[in-house]
Amino acid sequence: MADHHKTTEPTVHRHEEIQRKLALKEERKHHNVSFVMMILLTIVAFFAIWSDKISDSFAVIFILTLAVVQVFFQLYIWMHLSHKGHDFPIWGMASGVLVAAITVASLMGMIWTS
Amino acid sequence: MATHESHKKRSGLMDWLTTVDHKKIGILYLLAGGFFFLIGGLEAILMRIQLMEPDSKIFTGELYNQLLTMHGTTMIFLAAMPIIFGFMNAILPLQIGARDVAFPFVNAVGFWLFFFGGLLLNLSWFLGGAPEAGWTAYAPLSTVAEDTGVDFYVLGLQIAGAGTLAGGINFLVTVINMRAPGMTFMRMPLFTWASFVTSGLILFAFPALTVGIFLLMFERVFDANFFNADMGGNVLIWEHIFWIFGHPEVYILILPAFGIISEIVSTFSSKRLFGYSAMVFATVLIGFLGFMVWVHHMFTVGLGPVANSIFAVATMAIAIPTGVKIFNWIFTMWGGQIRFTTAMLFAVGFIPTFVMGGVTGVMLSVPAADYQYHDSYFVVAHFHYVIVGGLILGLFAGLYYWYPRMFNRVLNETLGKWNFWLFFIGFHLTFFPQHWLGLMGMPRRVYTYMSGQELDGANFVSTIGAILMGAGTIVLLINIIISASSKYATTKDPWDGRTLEWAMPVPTPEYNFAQTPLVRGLDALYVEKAAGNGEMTPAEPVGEIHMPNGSILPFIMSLGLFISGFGFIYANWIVAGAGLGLVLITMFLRSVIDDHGYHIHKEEVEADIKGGRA
Repeated sequence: MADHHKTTEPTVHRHEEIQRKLALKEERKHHNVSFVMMILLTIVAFFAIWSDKISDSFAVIFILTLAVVQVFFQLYIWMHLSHKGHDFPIWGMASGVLVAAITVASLMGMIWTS
Repeated sequence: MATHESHKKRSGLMDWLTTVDHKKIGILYLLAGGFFFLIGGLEAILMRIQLMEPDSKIFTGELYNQLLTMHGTTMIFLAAMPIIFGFMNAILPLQIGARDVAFPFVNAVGFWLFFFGGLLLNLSWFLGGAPEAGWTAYAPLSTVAEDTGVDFYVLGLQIAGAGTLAGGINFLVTVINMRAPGMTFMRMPLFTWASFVTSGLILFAFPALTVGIFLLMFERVFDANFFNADMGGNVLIWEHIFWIFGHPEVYILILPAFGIISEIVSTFSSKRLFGYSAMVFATVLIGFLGFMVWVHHMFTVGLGPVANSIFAVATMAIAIPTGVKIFNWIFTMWGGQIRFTTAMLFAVGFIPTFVMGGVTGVMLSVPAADYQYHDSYFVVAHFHYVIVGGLILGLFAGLYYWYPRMFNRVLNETLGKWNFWLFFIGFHLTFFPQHWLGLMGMPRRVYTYMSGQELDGANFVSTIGAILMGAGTIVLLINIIISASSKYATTKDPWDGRTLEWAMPVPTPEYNFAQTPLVRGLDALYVEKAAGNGEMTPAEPVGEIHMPNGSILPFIMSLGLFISGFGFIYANWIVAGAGLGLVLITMFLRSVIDDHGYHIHKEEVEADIKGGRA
């Protein structure tokens, strides 16, 4: 039994190590992709405002959408929100977004459109 | 590591100025909050003396407005909240089996910010007059006020509010990260739960106040025009922002009182809390709904029937979880072995009083009816029933309940009962007649009324009641002084407690638990008592305990903001810059000086355990 243990343990270890390396590699890929994407999104946002062909009202909505995408990249890729043990930050941010959304939407409705 | 072991023992005043121990900060909060409570109470009695007789001319006009503004502001921001924070500091880490809060340094910063903010606000009395625009500081009243009173309000609350925000974040992290092994969320005592939800509300509500006050500050100090209709601004923006903060603030105040009452009712009925999970759910739901009702303070503004109806329905919905709580307290007492100690008397007095405040609240939530009640004494009666009859009775209950744990002495029960009956009868005498004064048309915030309008009798009774409340508070002070001068030390568990804060010897060791306890159920200490153990099972062997070092930096940092506050009030940019510079220097020092704290050695802990000190 003891011998058996000695022979299996290193393979288990090696297996875990390979998995970790793969995960790291995957993560690095995500980082690279999102880094390039974020730069591209910023350039696109810049062009949307710079170009005369896109109307201002559309451009505002367009770059706000891009900003939301950027926030998701930031939170999930760079701040690892998708990893385990991030339930509380997600809950906190979701409720913060909810409170802010209610506030902004009601104020828009009650002050600036009436 | 050498830095680990450099630990200076400080004593006397310096110890209190530099402490980062949550128990000592809790006492500081309680003392400072208690002091401001007395000031706010004095202001209230002065107002009632003015209103005792019709056409009275003792405190008129601007001075009455100042009393009124400072009474509201002081009681909410400088008395109620700090006393709540005092209990949260002193008790919450013990209840979850933690050795301290998550960020002891930030905790100290939070206290000193509150203290200096409150000091700044109250110094306005001596420096050209207090603010006079009401605790709500509605624009344009607050933006056109010429003297510096409102500037003190703006800067004082900004500084104190930053401290509150820091405290709220600290307790959120503490509850999430510092619970002892086995202390799952659904095993946390209700006071901890209530404090947790309250901290969440602080996190989301106080930024609104911060932003609002910044806008008001820019309007007053730098001539901005956010609320100036002539320049394209909108006065309603202030009202919205203030109440987006202000309504959750009401629940920030009342939820901890709910928590305290839950602990006390359960302990003195010798029963576990009825419907624990429903209580937790109700607490969270009240916190959640609290963010969607602010417009009920603004029904008469003219936002239209749709907005008014939506917010009216949301407001009425809050009565449901609150009702759940009321019934659960009653069912907890039902069939229990009730002991009517002073703490329990306050808790039992709380329940019907709070129900009355809640019922008038539902009445006020009907927009059509609110047009009648708005800005009358009916509203004053309502919110004093929930804040004094709810929160303050809860805080008194908590004081008598936790006094032995905080100060190692039991308050005298006979004096305590005098305190309760004087305060309770005085309270109802003061505010019950005000319902009728309001229905008869007496407007709030007005410094006098004419005779011959049938307002005389009720106002006279109301003033007598206020004096009785004052007498009740004086009895409490006498009680505290007597207990402080007596040598009598309490046993560690005077009430046959059920939760972890009663598991340590008195005085509570600075590291709280020599060994982190293992929690095996709701009412952790009761579980062990029922199993015949009598004390907690440790979850770890005796070992070194890591402690944070005290620091004077929180005090100096807050002092810097205090100084810069004066600079902004008097538009003296050198002073303002110097104060902010001091803040930056302390922040820099805090960042670059490595302070790893120190360790209490295993031998010392073992000696404490052997000597009965841990």
